[in-house]
Amino acid sequence: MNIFDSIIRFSYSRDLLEHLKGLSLNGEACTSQSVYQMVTLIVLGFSIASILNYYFGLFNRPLFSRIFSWLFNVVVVPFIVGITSYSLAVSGVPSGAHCSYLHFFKTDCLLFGLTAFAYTTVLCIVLSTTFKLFSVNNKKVPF
Amino acid sequence: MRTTVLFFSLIFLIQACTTGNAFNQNGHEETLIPTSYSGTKAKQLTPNTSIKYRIYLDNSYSMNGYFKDGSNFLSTVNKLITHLSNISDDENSICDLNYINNGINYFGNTKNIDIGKYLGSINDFYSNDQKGNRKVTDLKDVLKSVIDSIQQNTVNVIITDGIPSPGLNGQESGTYLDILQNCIYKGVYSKLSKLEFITQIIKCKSGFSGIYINQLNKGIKLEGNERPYYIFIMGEEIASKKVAEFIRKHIESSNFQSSVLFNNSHNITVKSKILLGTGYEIVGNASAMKIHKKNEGTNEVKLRILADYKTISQNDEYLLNFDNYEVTPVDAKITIYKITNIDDPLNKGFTHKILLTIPNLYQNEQVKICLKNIQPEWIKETNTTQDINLSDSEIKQKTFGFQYIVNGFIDGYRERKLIDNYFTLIIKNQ
Repeated sequence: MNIFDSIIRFSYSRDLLEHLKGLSLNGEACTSQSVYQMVTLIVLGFSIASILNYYFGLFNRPLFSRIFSWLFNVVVVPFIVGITSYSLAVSGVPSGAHCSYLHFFKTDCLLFGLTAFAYTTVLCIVLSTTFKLFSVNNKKVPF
Repeated sequence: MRTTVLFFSLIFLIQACTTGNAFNQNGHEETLIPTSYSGTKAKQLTPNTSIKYRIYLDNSYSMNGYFKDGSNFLSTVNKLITHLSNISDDENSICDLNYINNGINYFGNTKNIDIGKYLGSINDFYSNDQKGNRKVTDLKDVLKSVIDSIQQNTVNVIITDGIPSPGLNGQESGTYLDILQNCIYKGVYSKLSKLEFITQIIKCKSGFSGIYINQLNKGIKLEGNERPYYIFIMGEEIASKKVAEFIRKHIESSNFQSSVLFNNSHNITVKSKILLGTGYEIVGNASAMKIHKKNEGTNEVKLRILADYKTISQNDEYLLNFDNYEVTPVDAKITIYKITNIDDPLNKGFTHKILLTIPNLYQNEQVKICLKNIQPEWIKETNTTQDINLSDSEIKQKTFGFQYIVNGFIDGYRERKLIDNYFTLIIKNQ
């Protein structure tokens, strides 16, 4: 059970979902490396690190106490996560890299990348609303 | 204070992200197809019903060989009897112990008889506890009596080498085997008219050093050999399956050989779902399953199908064996897996996964997958109709007249409408 089992996804196919969960090449069970687990860790790690950095780290200065700085932070990190997720997913597209009974294409991977992007953005916003309360300089960012 | 709030907020967020909710998206590409056979409903156990167990251990002389050099046989039987004794104690029920040879001889029950004494008596030729004529195993009468004794809340367990004794006097062995089959058939047929019960036959093997008694009642000395033996479990469905499960779990895997199960319950509903990835689409509705491959590349089609076999009373050995499936076109191939991760929301409600490969599926061609209800091959392979001159390999595998015993059960269940196919799925390429 992981986060991607529970959330609404951007209509990429179930076959990609099974591949990302680590379905073995013979199609028997999910015994291969799970991309989902990696992406979940990346989403959580990058989001928390970037928001901590913004409110308590290097960006915790009056110079960055503007909404554009915050927006930049909240967009760049999900973008990196999205690209990474897409790359990890698309590496399984060539035949031989995934179970031959699964049928998915690059567009599915793109939708997965977008899903990761969207959820990282949401997580960053949610974290911001909590962390900002304890920040010295960015207490009023984004609102 | 701030640190505490921050800490709990973080824990909450991580928790929210790693636990599931009801937003599982199965997508539009999957279709559910139920296949059902309606009929009489099997009698179900109520939670408070206690089961009476009856053990029938073959104590004919030919069984001695399993005791002398068959520690795995002794170990399995000991574990089984102890287990059934414990269950019957827990359920405030009774576990009766019997010997079978030329008839059924009651020995006692596990509440007042030591299990060691019951097992030990077999190995002692001159024991006062031996009852009946140990020179012969009259399986036709014994099996019929055991079948007759099945009641709604009983499980009868027979442990035997399965070798009937036609004897020299009177009948030819062929005639005897026909009569044996007919006796079992009549017994099963007549019992099924009053009561629904299942029969499971488990084939095991064990070391054997002793006298093998052939169809002419002549002893052949075997040293350090292996011989098959059988455990017949007959009775109430749920409890019988639990007994079979216990045996499977506790017998060494190298000593378990095969099993077969007969059940006349018609209350079978197989739910299935075809998983279509990107590049395929469903055409029409679920009852007329049609697919369309969007990509006009090769004609090869590879599909995954989920099926729920919960209501089929066959064991995994049967369900996973592709010989028990009929697949058309002939060049289509299937692989069947048991779903092990039942918590995975993607497989929820399904027990098995079928991978289907069709090298060439043309337009308007259809694929048929059918799980048949047939006699497993191992029964034919185990059978021999003569055991006067058996080769070394035959001694390890074969049992005289075994197929006649099984056929008796099959005939009895078939007369009570044993179904031909458990599950049929037709997919048309539109």
